[in-house]
Amino acid sequence: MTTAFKEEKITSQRVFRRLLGYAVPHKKGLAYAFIMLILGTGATCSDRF
Amino acid sequence: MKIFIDDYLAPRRFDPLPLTALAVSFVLLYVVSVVLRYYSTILFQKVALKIVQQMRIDVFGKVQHLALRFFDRTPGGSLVSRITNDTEAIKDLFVNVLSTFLQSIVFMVGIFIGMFVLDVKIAAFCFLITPLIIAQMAVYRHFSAKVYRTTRQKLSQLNAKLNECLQGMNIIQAMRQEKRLRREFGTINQEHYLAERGAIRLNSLLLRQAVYSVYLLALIIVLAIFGVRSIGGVIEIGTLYAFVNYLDRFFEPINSMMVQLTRFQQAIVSAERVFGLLDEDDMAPQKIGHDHPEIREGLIEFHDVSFSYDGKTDVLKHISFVARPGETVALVGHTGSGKSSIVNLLMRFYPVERGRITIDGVPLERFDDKELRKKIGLVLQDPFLFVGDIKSNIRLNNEEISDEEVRRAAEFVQADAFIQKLPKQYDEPIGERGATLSSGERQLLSFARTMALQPKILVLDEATASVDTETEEAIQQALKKMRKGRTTIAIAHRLSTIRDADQILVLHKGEIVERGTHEELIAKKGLYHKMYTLQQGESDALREGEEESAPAGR
Repeated sequence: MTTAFKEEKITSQRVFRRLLGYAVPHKKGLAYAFIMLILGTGATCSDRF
Repeated sequence: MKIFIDDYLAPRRFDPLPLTALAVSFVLLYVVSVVLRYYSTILFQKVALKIVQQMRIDVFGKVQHLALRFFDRTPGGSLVSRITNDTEAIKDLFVNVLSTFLQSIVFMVGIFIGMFVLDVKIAAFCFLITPLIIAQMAVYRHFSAKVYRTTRQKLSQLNAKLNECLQGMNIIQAMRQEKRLRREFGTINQEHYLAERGAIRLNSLLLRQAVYSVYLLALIIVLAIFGVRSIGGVIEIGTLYAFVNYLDRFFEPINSMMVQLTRFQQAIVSAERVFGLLDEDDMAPQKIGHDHPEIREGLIEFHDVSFSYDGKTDVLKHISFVARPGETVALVGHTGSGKSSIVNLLMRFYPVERGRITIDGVPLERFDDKELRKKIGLVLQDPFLFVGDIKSNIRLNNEEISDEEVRRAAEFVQADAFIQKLPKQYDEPIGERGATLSSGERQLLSFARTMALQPKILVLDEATASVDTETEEAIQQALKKMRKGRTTIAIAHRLSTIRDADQILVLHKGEIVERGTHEELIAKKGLYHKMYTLQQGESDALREGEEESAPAGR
C-alpha cells in the first residue's frame, strides 16, 4: 500500500468518523430504525423457505 | 416457497388447507416486511435530514465568525458551494448511502443465514466470493476518491466564476466583457465535464459490470455443484430454485451498495471540504482580557502602526496620529495609499500586528465586540441594505431601538422627507440590496441606521463618493449634524468635503506624508495642494462644460 493511499484512507476514516459523530444525538431514532430494518429483512428473507 | 415446490408442486400433492396456510403466511410475511422497511426508511431519512440541518447551521455560524482575511482569499461562490452543494452531498450520505448500506448488510446476512439453513456446503462455497466483492469495493474507492475530489473542485470553481459574474454584471455589460467571461466560464465548464466523464468511465467499469462478473461466477459454482450432485443422485428442485433465487437477491444489495459507493465517495470528499471550513482557524480578531471597558470620550490614538494583509507587503507603515474627542480627522490619498486599511484596523476587522491602537487609552483588543460595534458607527461608500422594510433596515433587528427612535434617527439625518413620500412610509418593502432606492436614499438610510445607535465615534469610508447630485445637499447637511460632538475618521475622495476637518492626514504608499488643516496643507504646496488643485481644475472644467452645453440642450 503506497503512503498516499494510506494517508487518503486515514483521512477518509477520520472524516467518516466525524460524520458519524453528528448521528450520536439521534442514536435512539437510529436504533428504532435499525430494529425495524432487521425485522423487515428477516420477514423478506424467510419467504423463500 | 421451497416447501411449496418440494412438498406440494413436485410430488403433485394438492391439500387445500396447508396450501392456503402457506399462501397466507407468504402474503403476511410480505406485508410485514413492507410495513417495517417503510418505517425504517422514514426514520433513517428523518435522522439524516436533522443531521444535515445541524451541519448547515454549524457551517453558517462558523463562516460568520471568520476573519475578513479569509474572505479576501476565498471566493464567495466557493463558500456558497460548500454550504449548499457539499452539505447536500453529505445529506445523500445519511439519507441514501448509510441506510442502503445498513439495509444491504442486514439483507445479505439474512440471505446467508437462509442459504446455510438450506445447504451448508453450497452456502460455504458462495461465502468464498465475499472477499472478491470487498476487494472490488476497495479498488473502486481508491480510484474514485481522486476523481470526485476533482469534480467537486471544478464545481466549486464554476460557482465562484458564476458568482463573480453575477456580482459584476453591470461592469461586464458596460465594458463588453461578455465574450471573455463566457470563454473563461466555458473553460472551467469543460474541465468539470472532463472530470465528470472520468467518473462515469470509472463507474461503468467498476460498478455493475464487475459485480455482474462475480455474480456469474457464483451462479456457475452453484449450478456446477447441483450438476455434480444430480449425477450421483436426486436433487431437490425447490432447494435449487431457492439457491438461485437467494443468489439473485444476494447481488441486489451488492449492486445497490456499489451504486451508493459513488455517493459515499462524493460525500466523503464534500465532508472533507465542509470540515476544512469548520476547522478554519483564521477567526475574526477576538477580545483579550476579562474586563469590559466602555468607550466614553472617543479619544483615538494610533501608535506606530504597521500592517500587511499578506504578511509580505506592508500596506501601512509606522502610522501614528491622535483624534481627540469631537474632532474630525480626514484621511486622503490615492487608491492603495492605506486609507481603508486604517479603518479596517480601527473597526478590528483585522488584528493589529505591529504598533498599538487605543480608544480612550484602552487597547482596541480589550473592548467587547458589542461595545465596539455599538459605539463606532461605520458608514460605507456603498451602503448594504437587507431585504425587509425601511424600519427593519434602520433598526437592524435590534429590539432595543423603538419605532420612535427609528423615526428620530431618520429625521436627524433628513431621511424622513423621502421616507414620508413612499407609499408605505417606514413599512415600505426593500428588495435585495435596496435596488428600488437611489444611491443617495440608500446612503441616508445607512446614516439613520448608524445614528439610531448613537455612536461616540463615526467612521465614514467615502460616504459621499457615490451619491447622486439630487441628494448630495441633504447628505452633506446630515453628515455635518452627525459629526457634531463625535470623533470622526473620514476617508474622503472629494477634498472639498473635508475642508473643515480638524486634521487632514495625507497618505502615500502606506505612510503619512503630510498632516495639518486644509489651510496649512494648501500653504505647504505639497501632495495635498497638488491633489486639491487637480480636483478644483476638474470641477471647474466640468462646470464650464455644463454651462456650454446648457444652451444647446434647450
